[in-house]
Amino acid sequence: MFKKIQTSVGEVLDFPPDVVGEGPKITITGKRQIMVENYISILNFSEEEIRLETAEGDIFFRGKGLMLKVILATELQIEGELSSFWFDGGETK
Amino acid sequence: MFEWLRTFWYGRILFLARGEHLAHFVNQVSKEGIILYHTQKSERGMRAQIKLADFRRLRRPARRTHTRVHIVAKYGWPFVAARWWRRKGLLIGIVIIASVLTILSQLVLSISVTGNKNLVAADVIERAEKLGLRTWVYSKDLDLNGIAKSLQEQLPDAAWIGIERQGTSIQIRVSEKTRPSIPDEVGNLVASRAGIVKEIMVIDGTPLIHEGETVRAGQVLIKSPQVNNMSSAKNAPVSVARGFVRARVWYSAEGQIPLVEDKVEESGRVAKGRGIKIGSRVIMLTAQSSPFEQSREEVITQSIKLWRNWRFPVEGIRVDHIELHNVHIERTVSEARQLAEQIARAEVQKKLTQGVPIVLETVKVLSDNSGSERVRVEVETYEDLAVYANP
Repeated sequence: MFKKIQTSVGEVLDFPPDVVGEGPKITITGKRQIMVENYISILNFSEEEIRLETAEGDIFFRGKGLMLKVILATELQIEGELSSFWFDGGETK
Repeated sequence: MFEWLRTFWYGRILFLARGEHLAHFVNQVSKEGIILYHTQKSERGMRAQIKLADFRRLRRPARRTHTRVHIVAKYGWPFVAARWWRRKGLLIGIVIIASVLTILSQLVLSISVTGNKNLVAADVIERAEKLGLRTWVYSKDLDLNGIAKSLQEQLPDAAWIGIERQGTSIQIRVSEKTRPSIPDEVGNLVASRAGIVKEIMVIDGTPLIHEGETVRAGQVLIKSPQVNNMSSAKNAPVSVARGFVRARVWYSAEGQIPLVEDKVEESGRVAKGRGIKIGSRVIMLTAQSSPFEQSREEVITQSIKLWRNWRFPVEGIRVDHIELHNVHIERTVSEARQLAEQIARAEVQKKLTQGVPIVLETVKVLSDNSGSERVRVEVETYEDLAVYANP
């Protein structure tokens, strides 16, 4: 209920979606820098693959030499050679 | 740059985490509010960096997820400081050296005097010390200009004194007054001309010659007496030699008269002409040209001065034409000799000291075959040679 009001108010007032929504904001700069905001937790990570849990489902990053450069509670900076990423499953609330 | 500085300041710990649930561990850690940097998985486990202050807080998530944490490396100021703290002696030594250097560099360590010739450097330094300028004194407290000024007042021989500070050394630069020098000869009796001494009479002083000695002009005859007591020195600052030195002195002069002579002489007749001068133009009214065969001109201009240096532009002019004529003289040998002797004698008379009796006079005819007669007159006198030296 509150969520719906929040969304519609946001639409009326022209708020950008990252202020209103709960989903992650992913910024990819070139091939080497990825910033993920508003994630929930890290599910698994290695040099080849990083899996994050977000409100919109899990996100997979694939690449070479991936490294979590900075880990904050709501923000994640990844560095490394990114080859692909996709969303998987998760139920929309 | 600032990021790097901050990292260095807070200190970083590079650790290796090993366990089954590393992702879970990372989540727990970030929930605690701890920031992980450069987190990377490898075969042996997970490498990550963390701030030194957060390291203790890592324990709880580690225990919960059964992860073991090993420190791989430490980096940053807190570790460097701890290492230094263990070497307190070295640190204290550095501090002591630095402070000693700082204190010493503010002291006066050496004083030197330059530019002095007659002034004694030790005396200048001693006077400066009395004014407060001595070694091991804080140089900031010194009023160098004031010291220079009072030093200059104390030393009358110094025209100017400047004090310069270069680090720990102080240089007193002196520029001395150039005083008129008092010659050593003052008060001495010296010979006015060359001669043979015949008689010495010393009233005061030391004679430096003996009778029969030939003296040169300027030679010291009687030396002034040395002053011993201060009271007489006050009355007569320079003691004076007194006495007479009588000597035979010779004077000589030559005269030369040719037997045959041609010369131009003024005849005594003068013709006067008057005219007007306007600017550079001359208009002669009387005696336009010389009436004589041979003549010399003397021009006198007469101008009227109006006021200050304003002159009347028309000037009066007077030209005197003085007649000249050739004279041919032929003399006999005796006439010529007599004339030459007269000339030579007049010459000698000029050299003689006035009022001196002539003891002996000889006239020599010098052989000359150029058609003229040469005569030398030699005069011997007996006179007092001693005069005071010209200071």
